[in-house]
Amino acid sequence: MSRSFEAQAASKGLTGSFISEEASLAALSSLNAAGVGEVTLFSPVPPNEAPKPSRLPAVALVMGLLGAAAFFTLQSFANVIAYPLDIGGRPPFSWPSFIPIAFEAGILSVVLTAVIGAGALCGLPRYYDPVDETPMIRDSSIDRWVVVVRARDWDALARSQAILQDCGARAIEEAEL
Amino acid sequence: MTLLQAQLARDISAEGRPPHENDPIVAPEQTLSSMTSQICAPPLERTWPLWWKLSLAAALVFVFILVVAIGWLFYAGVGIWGIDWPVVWGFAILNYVWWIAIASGGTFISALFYLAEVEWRSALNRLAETITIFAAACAAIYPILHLGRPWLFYWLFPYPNVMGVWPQFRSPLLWDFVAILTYVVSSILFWYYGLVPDLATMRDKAGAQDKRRFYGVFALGFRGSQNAWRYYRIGYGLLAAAMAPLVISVHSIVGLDFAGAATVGWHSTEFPPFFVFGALLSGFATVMLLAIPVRRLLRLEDFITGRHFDILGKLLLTSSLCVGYAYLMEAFTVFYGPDAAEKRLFIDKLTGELAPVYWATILFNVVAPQSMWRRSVRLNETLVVLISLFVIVGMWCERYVIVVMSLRRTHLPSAWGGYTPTIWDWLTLFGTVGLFIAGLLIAIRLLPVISMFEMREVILRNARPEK
Repeated sequence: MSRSFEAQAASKGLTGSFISEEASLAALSSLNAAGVGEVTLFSPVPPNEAPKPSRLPAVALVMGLLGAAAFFTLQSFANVIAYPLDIGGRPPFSWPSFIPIAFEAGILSVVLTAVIGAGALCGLPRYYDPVDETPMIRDSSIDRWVVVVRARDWDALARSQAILQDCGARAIEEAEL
Repeated sequence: MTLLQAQLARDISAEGRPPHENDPIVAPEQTLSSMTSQICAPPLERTWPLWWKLSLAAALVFVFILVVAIGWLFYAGVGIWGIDWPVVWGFAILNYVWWIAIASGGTFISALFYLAEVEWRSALNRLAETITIFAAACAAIYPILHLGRPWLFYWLFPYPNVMGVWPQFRSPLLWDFVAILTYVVSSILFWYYGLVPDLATMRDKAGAQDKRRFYGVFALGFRGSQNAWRYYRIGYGLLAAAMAPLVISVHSIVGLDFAGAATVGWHSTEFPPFFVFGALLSGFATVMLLAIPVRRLLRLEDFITGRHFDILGKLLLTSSLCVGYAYLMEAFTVFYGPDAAEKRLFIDKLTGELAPVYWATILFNVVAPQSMWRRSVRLNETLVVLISLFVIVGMWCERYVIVVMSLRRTHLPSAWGGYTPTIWDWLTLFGTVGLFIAGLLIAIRLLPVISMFEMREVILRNARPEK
């Protein structure tokens, strides 16, 4: 521990690192049950849990369909109204030949929605977070599960520390968060 | 601490170990920490070994040749190439189709096998995706150069203009332009999206300030909170679900570039699946070919194991059988159908002056990969390199047969012609090979060559077999 409780009057943050997902999840649920404040778990791998429902896939599907429809309309407008060309005697509205580009445009819309949407939901880009300053957090992208507590008050901080210890945290540090 | 860990990681990994049939998917000695240190160590090192410098220098020579060839092309026009009537599609289109097929391997491994939830892809997907983006970049150069007036390529975009003209959307060539554009953009985004958590690891692992800044900027501040991972995973699944049909559609459209024309030898409904099979074959061959030196030189024996070679070999064999089936059906439909010109062309392929190219195609793409039925061949690095090279050359020969041999023999014998590639054709081809290799070398110098966050999942899962 770098600094003691007394010396750090302004700080109400705590970080605890674990070597397994199970222990960190146990700590997380105990801390949440104790209602100590805001608790976040940072992990080196995606949590081993069933995927929770999200609206992102539905949004991506709608965007994909919109993208495809937009390009289908554009092609129809261009080759039927704006600049009609007789290609091998095909009818002006030869819609089957507009499908491949509409499909590609739909895929591109899904890809862009997925990258931008998921990126925004992950909170990216985010170039500064007070948690970046804690010495322990860097291990959370390597091999440690790090629980970060932003405690409501001093009492909650003390209780959090006890809970982290009980759950088998390998290291516990205070932090200014 | 990091130095010690890296040293430990090196000691753990058995250097120079050949692939073995009983290899696990990842060496059991590897832990999260040792794996991370080992994968992060090469990009974080200040200086790199001689082999890297020499190969990059050699590749850059070819990049320079490419620049000269393209510069001369822009100055003198497409007349410097061997194309003329009736063979108006020469090396440019042939090499384009060859490269775009090589690019497919990464997308098949990353997207298709992600959806199939297979474990072995985690060791190969980063390398395969990197192959994809550089091969797709090499491919995308050619159609632009082939335009004749490349500076007007933007006329292919549908945009309102004072001339009041619009692109002709009924042409497969325009479908192809949109497909390649979508494919290149999506592949780069998919690759980068998959890199973000690893860039965050690199940022946290790097000691020097400049490296931390470099990786930190590109990691976008990714921290791996529970919430971030949850959405990250959803996004990854969506991308995989979009990329898998995309790669199939791209190669189908490349097939339609040919099938859409009423040219002898091209006008066949078989072409779209035929081109997808060819893409599978050359994609897997390229991943196999490059996985071997990367595994050796970066000491990845613990992660790319005999199991991976076994699986890739089987995939290569399967796609070779698919391609063989397409060749058989090509012959069958020609002789089952009524077109005399098609039959004449096919007999010319089998016995004419360019017959060696056709038979090389059969030998390299169908006969040689049959040796992969034997496990000892799939696990033999030398033979794997040799067969992958055969396939890559064989696929090039196949495109030569499709592009050049068909155009030489039109419906009217009076319009028959020939084709001889010039030095500029060859220099452009070798130049793009140099560009591809230079791109790969720079990528493995700067980026982790294995997807670390996915490898962590594999390590954890294998450490706890009950799950």
